[in-house]
Amino acid sequence: MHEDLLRQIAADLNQSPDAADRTSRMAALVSEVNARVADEALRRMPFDSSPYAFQAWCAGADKS
Amino acid sequence: MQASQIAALDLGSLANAIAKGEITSVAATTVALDRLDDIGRKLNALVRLDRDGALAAAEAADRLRASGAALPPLHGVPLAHKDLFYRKGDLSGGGSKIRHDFRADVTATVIARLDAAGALDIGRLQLAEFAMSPTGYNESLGHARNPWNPAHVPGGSSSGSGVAVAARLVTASLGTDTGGSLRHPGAMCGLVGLKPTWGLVPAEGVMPLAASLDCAGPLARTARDAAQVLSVITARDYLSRIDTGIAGLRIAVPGGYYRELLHPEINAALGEAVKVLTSLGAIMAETAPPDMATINALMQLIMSVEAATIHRRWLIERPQDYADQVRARIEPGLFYPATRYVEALSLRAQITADWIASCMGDADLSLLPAISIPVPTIAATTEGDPADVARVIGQLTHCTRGINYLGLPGASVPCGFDAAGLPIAFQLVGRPHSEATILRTAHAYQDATDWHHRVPAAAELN
Repeated sequence: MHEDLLRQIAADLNQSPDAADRTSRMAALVSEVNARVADEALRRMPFDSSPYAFQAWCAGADKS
Repeated sequence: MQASQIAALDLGSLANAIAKGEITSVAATTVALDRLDDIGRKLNALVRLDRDGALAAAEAADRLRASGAALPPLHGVPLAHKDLFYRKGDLSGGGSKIRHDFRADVTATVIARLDAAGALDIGRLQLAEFAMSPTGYNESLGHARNPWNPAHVPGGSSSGSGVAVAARLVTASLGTDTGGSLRHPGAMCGLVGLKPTWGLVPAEGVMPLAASLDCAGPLARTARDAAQVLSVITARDYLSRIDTGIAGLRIAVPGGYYRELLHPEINAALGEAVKVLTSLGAIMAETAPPDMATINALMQLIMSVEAATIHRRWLIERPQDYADQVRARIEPGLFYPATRYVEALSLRAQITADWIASCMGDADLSLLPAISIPVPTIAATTEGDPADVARVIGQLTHCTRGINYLGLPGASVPCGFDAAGLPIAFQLVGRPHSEATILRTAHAYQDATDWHHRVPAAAELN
């Protein structure tokens, strides 16, 4: 991921200019994690999905 | 009874002795206060004590017992907890410079439940800054020291809780676990550190790190004591079936990723633990984990996004008041798109079900290493080439962090010592809400072994 883009995200979207100065050490991690999750979601996430599904699934396992 | 004899008691024994009048709560509380003030400070495990309040509460507890009233299960037992559990009106610094003068306006539900169970809340214990380090690293408050060898890390982020229970300063302590923070000090200090199923233990009044991953739970010397504390803080029963044995219980032992970094000494100790569990009637089976790199990426994304969300104001206004190591773990969360975060949450149930199918199959539990490498020195996790430091820290969370994304319960169980005299542990992980099975298995193992009875020299009991 281009460091300039990260600097812009830190400074403009998060109003965090200090973080913008430190983007070089995060670029590789952010790029790798983003790509992994993006690929996994494209591969596996159904249209009928919800960020709240896990709570319901977990509660369903509670037999006590 | 002498102070050293009182300090040697575990939670159940101390609660029984107080209930029977064999020890007064004042005596037990005085011992705990004195030991926290002395040994606790030497090991940098202590943040603050409420001596006057604790002794007044102990005197009240002794009066109540003398009156013949029915007593709750932890009546008069002194406990101290990680300094992120709020009590209304009290300081709660979260191991940070930024919140050093923060006073809570609520009392944590788990603290209120311990109060109702009769426990005395006598102080707060050290932790990693904002609960963000597997070693217990705290730049502003100093490093807590492992009671088995003070040159080594105690594990974090619930470092003071691990130190205080292992050094026999208190019999149990509450901590939190977002990526291993109960299991790390449990494993590195020789304790049962139980991370419950996500959502089981109320999080109200507990300083957050990443709300989708945070779990409060107990650190204790025995599985029985952990079950006692868990029963109180969840208002459920984890004690009544703890003695029923594990004959016929199926335990999976995943290979692959979970064996990649395994040090020979840890591997040997885990092998011996498997033999003990087999001798108790457990049926062991080898399994293979799924792609853990994806699970770790999902965990990293959720943790950093949720942490960056609540820390953003301070990252802007007070960036210099974070340790660099801590800020570096939060800031990546500023950069992920919202779509990635929602995807990471939306995939969670599906990926957890896949992990269970791969790692456990039809087994009841899974047995993993808690920490793959011997407990490192403080120097190895703070000095020298930053790449080497980062590698060691990453190795410590190899087998723990993914479990938080999966939301599953897990516990460290001590199973030996390495050549340097530092504890080794295995980790039991189960399906959601399988805490009773985990605790029953850990209890059966502890009934057949004596690792949890060993006392570190720093406890000064010999």
